[in-house]
Amino acid sequence: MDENPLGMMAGEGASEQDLVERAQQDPLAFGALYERYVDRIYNYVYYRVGDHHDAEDLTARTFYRALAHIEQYVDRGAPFSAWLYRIAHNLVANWHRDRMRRRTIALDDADVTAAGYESLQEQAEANERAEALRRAIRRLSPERQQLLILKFAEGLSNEEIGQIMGRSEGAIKSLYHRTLLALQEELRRGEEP
Amino acid sequence: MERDVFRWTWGGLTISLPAVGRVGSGVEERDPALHALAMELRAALRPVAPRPAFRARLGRELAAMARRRRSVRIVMQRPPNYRRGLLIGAAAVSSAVSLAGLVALIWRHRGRQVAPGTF
Repeated sequence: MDENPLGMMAGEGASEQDLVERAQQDPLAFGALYERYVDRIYNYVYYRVGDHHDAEDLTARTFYRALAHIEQYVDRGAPFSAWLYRIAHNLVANWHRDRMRRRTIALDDADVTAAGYESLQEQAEANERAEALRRAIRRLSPERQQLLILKFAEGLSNEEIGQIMGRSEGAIKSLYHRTLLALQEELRRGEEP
Repeated sequence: MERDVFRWTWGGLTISLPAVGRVGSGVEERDPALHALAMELRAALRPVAPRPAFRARLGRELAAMARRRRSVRIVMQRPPNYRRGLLIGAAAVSSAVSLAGLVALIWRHRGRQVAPGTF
């Protein structure tokens, strides 16, 4: 299998705007955008659904939809990735709606193990803490979950998060503050017997 | 923190207040408990990568979809004269085939009527 299945340059060095314009003119050029963003979108979706299989399915659907609608994409000042995240976010929201009655998700099932601990006991404790934290995150509103995942799993700035969530940077800062306090409260509640 | 505090000095009395407009800005840096929580979040939400096999398969599927879209677009973008010629050609060929069928049918019918020694 060729490393670049879309048969074109990975787009290193090219500006995002150039890549988008090329993809709008030639669908095969979409490959560079795919190569650039697939890991980030997968990471985001994974933490929203907590399962690798579903994350793969939703990531695939995100890119199918993006390719199908790339011609209609209009640059309004926000990065192209914001458009992709919004597609992913909408698909995840539908996914949650569909499964709400059928199964419990998800962050608490995430099989991310803690690394960098000296003893197994330390690692086990760290994993336990991380699991408790993910369970607490799961109990937050979808909006707050989205914020934490974009901030910590994706490493985005408040400004970038604002572009994705359609809010100002100040509003994101404020939401982040409230989210940390709410999470603290959730953890406290989780520790109560 | 100095930058996060508003100070007024009035009649020898200094009043200090947290900067209202900066609520939520680096809040975890000012609160040790929230700072620790942010550190834990960073560890609990470490980036995960997709399986290479999935990545490659999706890339191939998208490439196939992109090729189909490009083919459709090429046909749609042919100049009008080309499309008109294609239509006229197709119509002419189908008319000729119909006509030939009709002629063959009449011929066969006549042949049956005049054939000697038939009932």
